Amino acid sequence: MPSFFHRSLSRRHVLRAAGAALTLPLLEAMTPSISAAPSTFKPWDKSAAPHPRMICCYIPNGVNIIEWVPATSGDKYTFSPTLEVMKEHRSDFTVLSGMGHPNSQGGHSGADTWLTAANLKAKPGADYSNSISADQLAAELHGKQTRFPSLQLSDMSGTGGSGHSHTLSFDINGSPLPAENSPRRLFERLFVPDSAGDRAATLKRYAERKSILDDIASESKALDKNLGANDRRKLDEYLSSVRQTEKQVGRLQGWVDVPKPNVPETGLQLGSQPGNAHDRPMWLDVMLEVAYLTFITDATRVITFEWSREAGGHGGGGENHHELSHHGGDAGMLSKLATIDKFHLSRLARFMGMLKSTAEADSNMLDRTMILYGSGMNSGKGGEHSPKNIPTLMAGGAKLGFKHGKHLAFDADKHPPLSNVLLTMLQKMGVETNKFADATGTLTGLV
Amino acid sequence: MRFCLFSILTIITLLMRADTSELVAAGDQSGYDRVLAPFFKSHCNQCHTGEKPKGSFATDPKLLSIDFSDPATRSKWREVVNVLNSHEMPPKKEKQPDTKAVASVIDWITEQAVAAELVKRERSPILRRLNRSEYKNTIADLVGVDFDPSVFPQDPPAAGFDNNGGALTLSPLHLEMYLGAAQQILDRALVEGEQPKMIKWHFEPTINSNDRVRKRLDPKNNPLVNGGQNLQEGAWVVMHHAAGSVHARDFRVPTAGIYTVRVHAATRIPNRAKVVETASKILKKRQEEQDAKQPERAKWHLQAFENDMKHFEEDRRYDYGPARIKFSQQLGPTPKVMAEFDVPGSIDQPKTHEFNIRFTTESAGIFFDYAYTIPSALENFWMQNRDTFARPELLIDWFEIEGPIYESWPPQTHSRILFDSPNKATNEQEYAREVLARFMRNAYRRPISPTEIDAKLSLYSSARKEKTFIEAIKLPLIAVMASPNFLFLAEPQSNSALDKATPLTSHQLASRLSYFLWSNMPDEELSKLADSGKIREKLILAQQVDRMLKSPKAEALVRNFAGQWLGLRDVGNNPPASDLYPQYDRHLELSIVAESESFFREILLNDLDARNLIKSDFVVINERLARFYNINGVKGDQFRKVAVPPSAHRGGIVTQASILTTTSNGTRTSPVKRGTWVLKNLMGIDPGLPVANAGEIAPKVPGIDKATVRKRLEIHRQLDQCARCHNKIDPLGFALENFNAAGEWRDQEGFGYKGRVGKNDPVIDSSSIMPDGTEISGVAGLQDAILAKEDLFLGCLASKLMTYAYGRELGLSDQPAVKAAIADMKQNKYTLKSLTNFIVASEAFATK
Repeated sequence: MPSFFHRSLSRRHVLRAAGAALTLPLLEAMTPSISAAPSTFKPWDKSAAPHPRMICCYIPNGVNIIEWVPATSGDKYTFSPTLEVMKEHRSDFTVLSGMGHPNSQGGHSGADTWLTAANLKAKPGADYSNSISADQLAAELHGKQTRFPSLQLSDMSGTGGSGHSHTLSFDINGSPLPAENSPRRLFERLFVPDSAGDRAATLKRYAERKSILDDIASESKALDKNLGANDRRKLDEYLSSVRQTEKQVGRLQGWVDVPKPNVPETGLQLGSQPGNAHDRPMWLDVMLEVAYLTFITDATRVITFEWSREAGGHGGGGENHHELSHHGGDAGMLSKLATIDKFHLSRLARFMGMLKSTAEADSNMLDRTMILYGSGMNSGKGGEHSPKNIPTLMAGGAKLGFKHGKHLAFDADKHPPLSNVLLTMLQKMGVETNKFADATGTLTGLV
Repeated sequence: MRFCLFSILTIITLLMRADTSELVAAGDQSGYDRVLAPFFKSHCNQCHTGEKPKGSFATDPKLLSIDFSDPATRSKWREVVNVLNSHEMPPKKEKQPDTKAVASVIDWITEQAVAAELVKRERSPILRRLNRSEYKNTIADLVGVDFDPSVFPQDPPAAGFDNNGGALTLSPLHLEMYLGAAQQILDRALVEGEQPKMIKWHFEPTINSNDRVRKRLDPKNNPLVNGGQNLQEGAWVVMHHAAGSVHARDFRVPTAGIYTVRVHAATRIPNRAKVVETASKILKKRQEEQDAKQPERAKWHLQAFENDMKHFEEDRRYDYGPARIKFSQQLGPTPKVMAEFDVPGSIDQPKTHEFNIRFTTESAGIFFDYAYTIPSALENFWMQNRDTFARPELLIDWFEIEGPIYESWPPQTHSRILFDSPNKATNEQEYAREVLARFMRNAYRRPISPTEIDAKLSLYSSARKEKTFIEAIKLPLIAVMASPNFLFLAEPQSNSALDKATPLTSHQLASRLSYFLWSNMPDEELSKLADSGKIREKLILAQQVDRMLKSPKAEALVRNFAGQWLGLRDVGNNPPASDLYPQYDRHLELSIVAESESFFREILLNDLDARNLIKSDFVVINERLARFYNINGVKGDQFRKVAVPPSAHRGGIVTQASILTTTSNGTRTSPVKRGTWVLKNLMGIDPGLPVANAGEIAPKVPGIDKATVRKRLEIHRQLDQCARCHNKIDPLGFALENFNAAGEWRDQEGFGYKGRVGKNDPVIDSSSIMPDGTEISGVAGLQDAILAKEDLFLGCLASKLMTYAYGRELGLSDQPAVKAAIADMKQNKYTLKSLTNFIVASEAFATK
């Protein structure tokens, strides 16, 4: 074979010789492997200005609830095996157990209602109806002051189907707000300057956009007259999108003199793919890093982030998270589930660490950033996918009035609705309201 | 089958009745009192009343209303029909109602449900937005630009397809993206000034390890050119395995546009003798080293040598095909795979492979990687990357980039929109009107009224004050491309006709037809037939179906219909674990999707009997699949029809690796998933969702050393709450147990290390029982049993294609059409074309 000649000793050969020494025993693909290259991203020293912020992080398929819920409650509670991972942040979060949305259907529709508390079957004549999510109420208030009212992140782009939502956010009509899953696109939207040159040209572009929007709005009104009721409902969706886009253009006109924040790409693995087993940990990290940068530059104060969609999920390295959630009480599967839970929490802990290391006014960023973390279902002791006793953590926001470091344990059959937590968050965001969905008040013990 | 007891006559009577709204609005109280109340009283109320009715199902009229306009109520009633039809209720030990009584109950419920569907106008698709693939195709035909819509949010499927009007939502983000896309597309389509100068950059890479070799192209471009960590033979870079790509990077093309990339490549395929010879050398050396270290174990070293040699002598994976290239382009920071393909042609007859791809002026690179995988097994993976081991080699001597290329100047994309006209030079305003009139006619897929043009023209006029003609005309064009008349399949009716079914206009019909068969806008011929109204003639319609299916655009039907029906988009989502199923590699994954598509295409385009989908005496495969399926004599990467004997165990959808892997869970087969898949997608029976608390099957069974998946499921089914459904589902999956989670044939279930089959491992038991009690054996038995119930399969196929064609879920009122479609197919040689013809001629397809 000719290729046996003409050879030079290249770096490859040396590497290969080294590789030969590490042959067989490397592969153990059955257990979650968390081996990706760690991120080299460095948090900044301090934030621009103190503002209240919230981020809601959703994990699908519940958790291994047996290893999750601490055995004791109160402020002297002992960590459960899974929550050990959060040790360094003990004084900055609260464990909430036994809670849930009374209207939730259970199964895998948890992400649809996690932040809305809606009864999806409530509206007569509709197969599915949702209502506004808590984050959008906060966005309505703070969106006036930031370039983006809110951000929706997820591991699948778009909205997903009814009952299998890829997004946690729903607008005032209960329509889903599509999520972004590409760190690259997200980064570009937030931090890369728009191409059009000078101020006048930009304003001109907005004016043109408005004239186009006017035109298509009147076109759709003409169409509307000749449509039946079902079609008209669909066209309403279009018209309301036109109106909201008009509003957004109006907002952008207000931002024309403010350049997008200058954020270098350094250390951000923006090419990470959410569905790629190898990239998975990097993807989670980089999404949280961009969320961090969004907060620190005050590009938005409201973020929702579905780490994986329900009934799917890649765990930490491509494991079938969903399959494991149907564990049927099997010890092996439960332990794999706990490994995924710990992996997820380790990413949360890292994110909290970044916020905590960043100075802000008289304290640090974490103290003004509320983090709601949890799942919309409980995979249960036997894999039953129940809407009761859903795993929930509330973290950060000490300067907003949160008192952490405890386990608030409620009776799974008799507990305040989870909406009370959402209402508490809304009030701490500064939204002046005593009501949200089925909330009966704020949650006692949390603030 | 779910509808077997329904009186189809009842439905037809209802469909013919002019006005059903009264019936629904009031709720048929008298019918309820006459038929339902007495039946409930004697057969149901004993358990289903009171504080805690059994199964949380109550017959109390307050809880189970007769307002069928409410979908929740309707679904409760549907459940009543289901349990009665399946003889689940009343329980066997209770007094059984007579068949007549059951029939009248079911008829009454059906009648109410159908009436409600009709009143709510659910027989008509809801205003349907173009989905991503329809948008892409429409833009390609309307403007001529190849736009990548993958930046748009994913479209949610409903009832199995992502063209369902009700499910396709539209949000502000969509609108923002449509506006941005329109701008981008027009910027690419319309040009000003002279044709940009072309460049031709030629690269002759050589291997180098320091990655510092550059080639000066012009004052601005001095890219890195690298042959990777490969071998060099004269001008050729020889790639023996994946060891760094041949590439050029860090350059910027002078103008954005389409460029031709060429690569000159060859392959060297060692034969089996060479494999054995080289393996033997390596293994012999290992044996000698081992002997030197542990002479007392020499006997075992020899045995290991002989075992491993057997692997290299016999395993089919060493019947190598040609080497493969993966070609990727990097723009900005993101590399993207543009093509993966076999490289035929020996070094005496190298071939030039050519691609037209789009470059922007971002920093760019092009990469060629070695992409032939030899499935790794424990016997070989430590040595398959050694240069001394024979494997297919990929040889590249040069590659080049040339462009931007235009077939003419100005390009077609430009002159299609800004065509020649007497007014072009003399009367700009009038020319703008002509341009808009033609563009809107095409974009809206119907005639345009002067007022509609006026509205757009005024956008142009105000912009023209400050902009060039081209920049000014873009404004109304963007508005057209973001308007509801373009983005939706709008089917407005005259005002008086809104509350009853009315025939579509001929242009609306043309659009439905072309989005059904092409996922694309009507072409010129269809538009003309719509203009003249001829498209409504049955004969013309059939001729068009014929023509359209022959067109390459019908590939959309294969991709979008068959792809979604068979679940091909799920391939690779949860792939077989590589350590357990080493045969499953990237090339195989691409091939198994293409196989199912090609199989469907073969049957569609050649008017074969659709029952071939269940069982066929042929397969449609390429060389990679032939190796995987153990079929001889297939060379090359293209898919072709190959006759197979029954002993090959292949032929028919259920034997295809695509379906067999998506219905497995990565580490093992899932007879439940397979059974559900067969029920839902081939027999049209929805087994429903698992009940809460059903639990998972036990991974291990105490007391049984080697519990097969089948055994574990059987234990699971001993629970009452599971047995009800799983007795129907699992047996269908058991019949397919001879296919492992990667779709390979097996006779035993492996319990060895990494799933290896040991001598004493359990033999696969693929005997089974169909839902109706028929005993069957193995995949052939399953196929025959489905064919024996061909009406179920044909009805299922018809329902799926109708759902896709109509862009909505089917209701009870569609059942007569499904029945008629079955009958029609039987009279017309069971072809997919006859089914297609039936659907486009059906009333539901042609009315709004």
